[in-house]
Amino acid sequence: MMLYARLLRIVLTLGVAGTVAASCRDAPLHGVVIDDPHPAAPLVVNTAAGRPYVLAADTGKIVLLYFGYTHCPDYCPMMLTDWKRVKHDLGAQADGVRFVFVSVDPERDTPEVTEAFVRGFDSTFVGLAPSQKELDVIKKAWDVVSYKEVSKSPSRPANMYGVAHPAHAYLINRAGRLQAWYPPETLWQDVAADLRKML
Amino acid sequence: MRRLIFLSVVLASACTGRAPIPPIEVRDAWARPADSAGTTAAYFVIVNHETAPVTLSTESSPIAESVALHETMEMSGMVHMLPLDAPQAIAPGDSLILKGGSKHLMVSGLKRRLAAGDSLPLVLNFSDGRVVHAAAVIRAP
Repeated sequence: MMLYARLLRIVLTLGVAGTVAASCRDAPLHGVVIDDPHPAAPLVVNTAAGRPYVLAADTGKIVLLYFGYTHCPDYCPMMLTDWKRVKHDLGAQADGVRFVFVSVDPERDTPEVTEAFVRGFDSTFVGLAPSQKELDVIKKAWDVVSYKEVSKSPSRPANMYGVAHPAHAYLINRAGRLQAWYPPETLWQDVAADLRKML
Repeated sequence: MRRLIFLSVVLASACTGRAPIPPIEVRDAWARPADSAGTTAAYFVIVNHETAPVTLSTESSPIAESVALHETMEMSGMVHMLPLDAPQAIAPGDSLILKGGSKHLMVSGLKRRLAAGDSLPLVLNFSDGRVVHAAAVIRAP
């Protein structure tokens, strides 16, 4: 009788654990989820090494993508710091994720500067600095808006301008489809949980 | 009586081993690492311990070409960084809080690399002529 009770307890425990695990897997992603993910727009940018980075070549990996600029001292470093935390949290699983930062400031950001900027956070992060021509194509394809915001104050040096850029990061799934957007208030823990679910 | 209060403050400070709190206090100053010629943001809290308002008018650093108070704002899904050219008044007992995603000091044209553990010297000028020196600790992200 005691053996039967113990077996029943084990079966019930395993059942509950299985249900919880399944419901975690089935839980919706965070951020703004696209119900019918469509193929991500093309993204091809020459890197500091002279080779092009081609987003489509990363099919099979999950890609987190953000449009910012290296003179952005506040928001962009906060996003990259969150990504660093996400990568650390994923451990070895992070090999299945590509973190890509695309500059929208072709006047000041070179491929070398942008690569050094993102690698200050993690040596595996990809930092891309499209030329103005490349950026125009990318912005149109991704429906991204960005523009210079020049201070009217005469005391500000001319090269000290801001660049308005999208606040959200893009989540591209392993099939190369745009799966979700993460607004800036999304917790890095939630992003890590989503990636773990998708890996 | 004033002398007695001053003496009491000095003695209390000596007993506790703590420096007396300055009338304009800069707390928890930090900034992110940056390369030479690069840009960083400095964050801190200025507390006005005085009985009258104080106004932060300009900022500078001996190791940067340009230092300016900025505010990051999110509007309609876009991030904007706007310069705060107007002097910032701090009421008695109140604070000016500089933090991520909000008001910050944008420090551009660094004359040297700032690595974790370094410090970034800052000079804060107030409209009554007072100058407060602060050092932001460089913290790795």
